[in-house]
Amino acid sequence: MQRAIGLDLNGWRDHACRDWTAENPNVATQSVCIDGGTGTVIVEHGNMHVGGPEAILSPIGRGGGWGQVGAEAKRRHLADHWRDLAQGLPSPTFDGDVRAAVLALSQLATRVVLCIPDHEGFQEAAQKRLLVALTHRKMPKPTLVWRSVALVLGLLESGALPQACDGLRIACIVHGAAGLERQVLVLRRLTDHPNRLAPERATPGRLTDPALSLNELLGRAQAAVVGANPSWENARTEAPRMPVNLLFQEQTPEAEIIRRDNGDWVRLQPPAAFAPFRDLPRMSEFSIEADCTVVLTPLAARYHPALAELLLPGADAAPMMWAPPETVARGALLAARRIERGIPHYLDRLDPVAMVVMRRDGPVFADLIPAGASVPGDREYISEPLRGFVWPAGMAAVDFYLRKGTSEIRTWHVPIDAAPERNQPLAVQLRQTPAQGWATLSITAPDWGELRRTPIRLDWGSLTPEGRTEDTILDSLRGPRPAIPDRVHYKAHIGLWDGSLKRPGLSAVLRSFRPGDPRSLSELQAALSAPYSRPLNHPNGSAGPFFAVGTDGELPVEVGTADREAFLRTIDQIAEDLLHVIRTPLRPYDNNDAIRCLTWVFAACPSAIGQEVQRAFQEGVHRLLEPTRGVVVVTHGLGRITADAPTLARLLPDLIVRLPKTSVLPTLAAMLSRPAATPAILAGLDVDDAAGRLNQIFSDLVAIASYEANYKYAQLALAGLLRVREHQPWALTIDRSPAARAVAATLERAMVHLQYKRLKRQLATTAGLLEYLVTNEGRPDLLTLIDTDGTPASR
Amino acid sequence: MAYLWRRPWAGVGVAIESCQLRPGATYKVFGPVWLGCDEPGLPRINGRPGDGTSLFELQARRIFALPIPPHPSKGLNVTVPGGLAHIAFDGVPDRPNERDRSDEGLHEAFVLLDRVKAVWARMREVEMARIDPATVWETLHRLWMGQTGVDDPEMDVIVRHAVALPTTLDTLGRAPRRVLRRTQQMIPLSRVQEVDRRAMTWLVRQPGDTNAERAGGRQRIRAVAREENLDTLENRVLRSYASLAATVSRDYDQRHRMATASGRIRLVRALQKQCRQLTLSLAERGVREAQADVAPNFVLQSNLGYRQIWDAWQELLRRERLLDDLWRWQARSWEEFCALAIVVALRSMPGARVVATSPLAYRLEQQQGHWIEHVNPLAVVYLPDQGTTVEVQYGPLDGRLRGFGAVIWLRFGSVDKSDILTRWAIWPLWHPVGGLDRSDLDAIPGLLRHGTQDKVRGGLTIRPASSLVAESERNGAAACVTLGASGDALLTGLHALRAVLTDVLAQKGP
Repeated sequence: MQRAIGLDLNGWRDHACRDWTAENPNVATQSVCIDGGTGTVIVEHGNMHVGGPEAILSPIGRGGGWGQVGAEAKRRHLADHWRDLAQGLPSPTFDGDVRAAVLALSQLATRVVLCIPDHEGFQEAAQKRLLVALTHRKMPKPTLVWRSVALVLGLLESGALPQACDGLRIACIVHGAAGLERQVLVLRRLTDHPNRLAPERATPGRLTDPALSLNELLGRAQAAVVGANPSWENARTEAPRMPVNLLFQEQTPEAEIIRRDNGDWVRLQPPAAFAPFRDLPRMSEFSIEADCTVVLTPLAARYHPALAELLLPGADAAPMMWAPPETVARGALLAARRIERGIPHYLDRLDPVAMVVMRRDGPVFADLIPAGASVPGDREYISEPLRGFVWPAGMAAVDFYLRKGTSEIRTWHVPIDAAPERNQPLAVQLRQTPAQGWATLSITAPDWGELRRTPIRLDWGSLTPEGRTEDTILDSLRGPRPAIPDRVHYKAHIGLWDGSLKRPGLSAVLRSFRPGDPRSLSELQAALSAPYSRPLNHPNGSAGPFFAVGTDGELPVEVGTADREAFLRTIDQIAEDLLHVIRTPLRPYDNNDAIRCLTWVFAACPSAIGQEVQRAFQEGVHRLLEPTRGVVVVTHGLGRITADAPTLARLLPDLIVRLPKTSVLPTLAAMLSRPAATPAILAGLDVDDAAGRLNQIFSDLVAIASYEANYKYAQLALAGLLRVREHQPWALTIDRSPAARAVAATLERAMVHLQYKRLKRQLATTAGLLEYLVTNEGRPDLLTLIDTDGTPASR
Repeated sequence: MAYLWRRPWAGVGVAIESCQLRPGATYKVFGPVWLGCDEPGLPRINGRPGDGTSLFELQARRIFALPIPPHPSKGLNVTVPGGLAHIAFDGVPDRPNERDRSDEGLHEAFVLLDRVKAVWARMREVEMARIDPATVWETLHRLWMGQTGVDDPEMDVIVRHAVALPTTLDTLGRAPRRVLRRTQQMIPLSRVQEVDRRAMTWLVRQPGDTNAERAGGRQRIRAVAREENLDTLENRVLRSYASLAATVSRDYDQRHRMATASGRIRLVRALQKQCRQLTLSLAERGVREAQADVAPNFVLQSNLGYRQIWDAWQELLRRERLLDDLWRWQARSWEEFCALAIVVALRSMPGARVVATSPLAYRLEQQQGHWIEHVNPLAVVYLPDQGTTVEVQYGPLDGRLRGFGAVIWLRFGSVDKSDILTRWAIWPLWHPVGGLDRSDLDAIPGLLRHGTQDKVRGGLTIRPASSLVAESERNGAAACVTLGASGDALLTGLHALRAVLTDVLAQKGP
């Protein structure tokens, strides 16, 4: 059995509780409460460093009239230490003083459970500081527990909660030095120990009502003592303990004998009447719904009625219960015993910890602890190794941004001796025991020897809180997004219908169209497939390229109803004839004009023909492939007519897998560069893998110095892949994508060739591609530039 | 020059209590003595410097307390200018060995040793009382002035062992750890399992061509035999512990033979019986005793049961060494005990209210008989009936009062008055036999004129009680009280102290 002690060292009225004796420390007995005294001081004299009742009663602790023994510098108040700790400014004597205070009430103990206030001031930094001070070879093992939790445990242990049951909401009001510490706990039945209940804590408590603080009441008590002994006010004596006794001693204080500086003795009379709460405001609104309210105050019981009048939250409030002042120490002891037996003494919700990670849509704070997770207070929460983080290649230091709670952000700068040569996947693990200081965060890399051998561990204490807000930090990390090339989209122009741009015009061709006539079909095919564009040096300025039917299958808005109907009728007629031919094997089929007509209307191609073209492309045996250049027509035609998302989603993965075969390049290039639905489909695919396959094609082409059609299609495909940045802004950038780095290296080799060969058109498009890969910028019309062989599209 | 003081107040110029040590002379003493030394540096006692402890300085003379030697009959030699002076402690018995308690001739020595143990037990009670620091003095008052001492003897290390170790001793006694030792034996040829180099050398030197011929008529050859052996270090430690624990528990039993109803006594007696049987059992099985200075082996450090025995043995050995030290410094321990007894007696006065008390820091190890660190005043008690405060100061005072050599001082004050504070000096005087010494009553009034300026109004000596009932006597400004360290002598001694103090206050003695 551990020799455990529960401690409530609030500095005002301290208590300890143990269930063993000094003579038989290994045998459990009934729990006994030890009075730790009121107004605790810690005294230091020579080798002596003492706290607790001995210090309070000692000449050193009393001070003043005791000469050098009672010098002011030898005496510190424990309550002042708690105040400094909550403010994050513990004094240099903090460690020794707290140890002395704890040791005074934990003689022979092997474990102490110490209560800490339940409010924002005692979060991880204060807990850690306290644990560091208490962890010493001469000290029993320390564990911290929230005072509100210990209060409820103490009530459970003493049977003072007869209505205790699963789900009971208990509002705790703890009267503290700086005000009222409020918390609401919910009793929960433990899953593994169904006959036991434990409080569940959801959030930190709140500190309110400084007007009702013990500091304020002590000031009133001091004034009352001065009022009762006017002759004493300026006398040179030790500081009397009467004000403290007036507030906290259960017996009515009697006359106190105090010592003058000259060694004489004087008698102080207690005030005839003392009303500490006179003219004080009522407690602020306590609107949280609870089944009962428990009040803990170190004040003597005679003040409870007056305090109750100030605390009453309302007529419909839950019944109020006064906890004896030693309840918290009893609860802390119960916590120690539960911890010893492996029974959770309470359930806590860990403070959320989040870390900035780069997601597809930019940097975000990703939670490392599941939101709302409830963990047993006696156990350490160990997260699953969190994966999906990468240490970028070549980076010798990384800044981690960590957010604790909802607003506190700290920057963790992690330098490393040797930067990794490639991106290293990281595993982040978080460990935290509730109320026992900071979470431990460790970062390791399974494939990176340096981090695998010595994982990086977070030292919270060394991190400085960020002054910037969450949004400011995220904005600073976002930076400029890499550019995204515009898709290839050629508009339909009325000039190609009425003949104003190119004679005779599609309207005239449609009017003269005769079904079944090969000549008509050829004219229609020519009218549909021939674009119109004006070069830069044209007197009327550049224009185009324009088609009679836009690449999205749209017709010019200016087209009249008659022409529109004639067009649709003609297309349907041609499609019907072609399908009939396809389905009649005995009919000769040796002319590609029909399929050309139907595929040059782009997305307006009838779906039945689209399916036949797909089948021909995928199966390799089809009537459409029988004519001369049938394969080329089908391959290119499929690229032109495919624009809907379902078809793209079905075809694109298949086409990418076929790389680096160049036969699929035209189809793939068209599908990647034209349809509006392509980026969404690419977001679901492995674009790095596709880029890697394209890099293989580039490498092969560069090796044979071939910069013609396949080079163009490969460029189109690569630039088309960049459109994925609409959904993954940092995709295919050389600092994140190894494939992009490889492609960039290949293109740089190509640039050398192209400069040597003075192939200006390819040089310009290759440079444009490199710009996209290497920088965050790029010309938006790169795809059109490539598609039109160096002629920029007009706006 | 060196001087021998037979009374602590020799410093105020009472010539009869002091004499100069001369080389070659022998000085017989019957109680505590103090050594005054004018020479710089520490006095050399038995050829070694620093065996005494410096108490205070008085007019360039440093006063040392001398320890009681383990063998007082041999006395001790003090180096003085020109040679050695011999101090013989007549009437102080040698430190007895606890195993010889049945020897009637050592009765006085055992009475003195029991007093040393009793004083030590009282000081341990201070340590125990500190577990509840708010009630240290209440606890001491209850323990020392209550009736619990008879029925429930003091806690002791052997009692803790009697609670914690019987199961372990039983387990280890029934199945002590054993090892297989290799020995060379003449073994029948058919049963030989292993031969080593030595056995083979023996074999080839035997006459004959075959092994059968070499085995001779009895058909035995020298070979390696493995046999169980219990004489391991851990078992030796077990036997040594059992032997020592039997002695210590017998001593505890005899010191408290009246407390037959006590659960502690029953436990200790059971331990004594168990340890005696275990000692015999291990001795029969060839286990020897371990030396006190052995280093623990792996088993003693790692095996749960043996480690408990090792720790317990070390604890008992430390206790023995500690008793040796306390024997040497028993006069100093007596002073500390008397200081605490004064506070307990004052606290027990009707209506007494403690105004302030010093923290009591209990040392991990005694320091020349002292266990407690404190600040002065040790305690301040307010007696409302008398309207008086009483300060207890423990330790030599500075200034003119130093010459009194008193280690305890009482200072009396009045509340709401500006009276000059008066003092009483208290001398705890250790003596091997104890009992009232009326010469103290005669000597004290003569000293008081030296303290007129400092308002020294009286003196009190506290001597060890020589019987079960304490005594006291007062003659005006001088008083003498005897005090026991345990049982009725303690209780009656504290009552006597309280009565003297009450008397002093009632007669407006201060």
